Amino acid sequence: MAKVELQNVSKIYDKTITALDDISFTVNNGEFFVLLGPTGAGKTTTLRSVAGLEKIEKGKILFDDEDVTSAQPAARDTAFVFQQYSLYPHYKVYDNLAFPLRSPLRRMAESEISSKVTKIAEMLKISPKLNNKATELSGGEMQRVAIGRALVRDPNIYLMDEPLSSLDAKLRESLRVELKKIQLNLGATILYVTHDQAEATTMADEIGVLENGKIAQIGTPEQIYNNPKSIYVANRLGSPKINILKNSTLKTSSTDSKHQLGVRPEHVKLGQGELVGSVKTIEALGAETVVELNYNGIEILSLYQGSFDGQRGQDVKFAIDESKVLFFDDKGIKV
Amino acid sequence: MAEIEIKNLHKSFGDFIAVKNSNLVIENKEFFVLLGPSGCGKTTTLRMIAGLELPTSGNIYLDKDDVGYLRASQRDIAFVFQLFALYPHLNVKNNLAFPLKMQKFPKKDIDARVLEAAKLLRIDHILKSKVSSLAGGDRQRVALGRALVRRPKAFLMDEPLGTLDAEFRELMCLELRKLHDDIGATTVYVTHDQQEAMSMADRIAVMNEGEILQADTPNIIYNKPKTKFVANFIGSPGMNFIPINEKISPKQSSVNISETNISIPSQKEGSTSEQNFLGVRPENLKLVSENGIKGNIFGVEYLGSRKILTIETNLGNIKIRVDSDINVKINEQVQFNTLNNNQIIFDGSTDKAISSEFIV
Repeated sequence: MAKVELQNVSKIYDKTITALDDISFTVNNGEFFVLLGPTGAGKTTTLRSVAGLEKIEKGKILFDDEDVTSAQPAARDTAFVFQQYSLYPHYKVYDNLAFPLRSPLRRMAESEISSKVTKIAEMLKISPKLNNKATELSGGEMQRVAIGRALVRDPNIYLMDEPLSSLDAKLRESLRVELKKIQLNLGATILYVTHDQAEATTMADEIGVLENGKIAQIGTPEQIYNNPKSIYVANRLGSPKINILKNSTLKTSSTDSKHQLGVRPEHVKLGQGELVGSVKTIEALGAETVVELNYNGIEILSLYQGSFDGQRGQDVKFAIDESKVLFFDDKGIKV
Repeated sequence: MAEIEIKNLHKSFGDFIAVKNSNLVIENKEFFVLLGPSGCGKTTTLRMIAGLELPTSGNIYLDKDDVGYLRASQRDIAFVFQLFALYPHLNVKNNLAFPLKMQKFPKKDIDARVLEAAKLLRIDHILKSKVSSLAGGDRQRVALGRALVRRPKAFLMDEPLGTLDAEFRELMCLELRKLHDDIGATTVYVTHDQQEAMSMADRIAVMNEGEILQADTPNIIYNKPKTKFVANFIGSPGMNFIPINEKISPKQSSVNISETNISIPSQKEGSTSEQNFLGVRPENLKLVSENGIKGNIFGVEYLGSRKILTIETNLGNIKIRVDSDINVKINEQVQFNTLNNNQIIFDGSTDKAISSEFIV
């Protein structure tokens, strides 16, 4: 495993389209780094640039302080997991996992291959399927094998491009706990890209939020959630989304009328305080309920713990935890 | 206006039974979700309602008329596939008008209906734009509009948001639900995503292996699931099942698990099995400093407003939902116990909930 560093990396397609714009970040050895952003933000391009599958126009890429910017993909020794599992359908699971180790360049003994494959198969809970053909697996199992095929190697870095996004919601949830545990056990360095904020906050040591090919903020999940540098970043984490309100909506410590307020829905407490709003919609999610309030014509979302016993159209009291309010200027930058 | 009823509906493909003798009444104006894992029969059920698949046996009634064996075109129902299926070379207006032109509507009626649908979906300002130049959200609205112009009695949707970004999906969920409320048609919606189901549905039918296991409101499905499958499938994460190594008797109000006494709602019936399960939601468990079940932290998932802890115990992995300011480290030893009496005992031999003061 290695430390991977991007310094001022830019990628320009056809001399006009800037896909990556002066990107810098470091994935430390043994770190789980997640790039989060919507479609088209530059996540996959970044990953491909690190792998050497894209040539960058500006900047440097360093592996353990060694410049690999112009090195061929093979020389960089990265392991890539794609969104769509790409397995050899006519091979057994065992042989799919062993394939990367059987490269003539490696000359690995069959006994060593066997012990590595067995260990990874156990971690990914696919040991009983080792003798099945790849086509006899469910989608979830195939994606485990695809991840396993990367994990059997000991590359400089694992690069993962939304590896869980094609799976059922339930399976995605259980795999993200497992993947994090495996990463900790192996001490693996992972650069992982996703548009799913839950994957980002649950697995990452650090998150880099991408905005139109630029890094908007880098930090731990807690830092990014509690202390976003801009409204753009604040909107990327949190479900339901943060409320962005005009300063005049509430009484706050700021006197600047241009300021905007960021209020997380869990800090809008129903059934207490002085403010009164009417219930517009109620979304029961089980453990919690999202209640949309109409407060003087302004929509405010509240996240209520447990089931909410109100009716649409009913007036409810609410309070906003003022110590948790975030302030942004008129351009959406944190004050 | 449409009430949809399915009666003893059955579909097999050769030896494979896709839908097993299902019964269901979907009420007029209801937003009804068919939920289950892939292969559970939800899409087959939907396709039979649409007329894209004929039942092997059983009936489908649309407002009391038996339509089960009619062609799709003879049923007044609109099917929304992947929402992106548009004609890229036509503009928005012509995409919307297309289904009406096929049905040879007079031009005046077409124009009026297209405008009406466009206004409802807030795309009336882009009627002249080419579909290929539109952003994802607008395209989705156009596709919906094309179903809307027919003014069908019911909308059938098969995972229409499946391919979208998580963030955009959340937004479209809200819009779809609002649209449903505005036009007041009956909607039957198929998904494997329980969160989508919970947030949009008036009622949810949970399916598995061709069978409808339970059809209820999101609140009841979540809090009072009748089977282990439903309890586990609903919720993010699903319900925990802690093994109980004793027979449960009527009126019993506590159980002993791993030398820890745990109170349960007073049982109305006993179990048939000696091996049963305590079903408890992650938010109904709490960390305690003593008198709890012991385990080690296996995983910590930070989700902003809360954390999900996975605890490894000799009873299996248990999930607890805690406030996000609670700090625990991986491999740390902890203890936990129940927070309230909202537990369900599942019979080990049937996987069904045993009735108690909490669940009937």
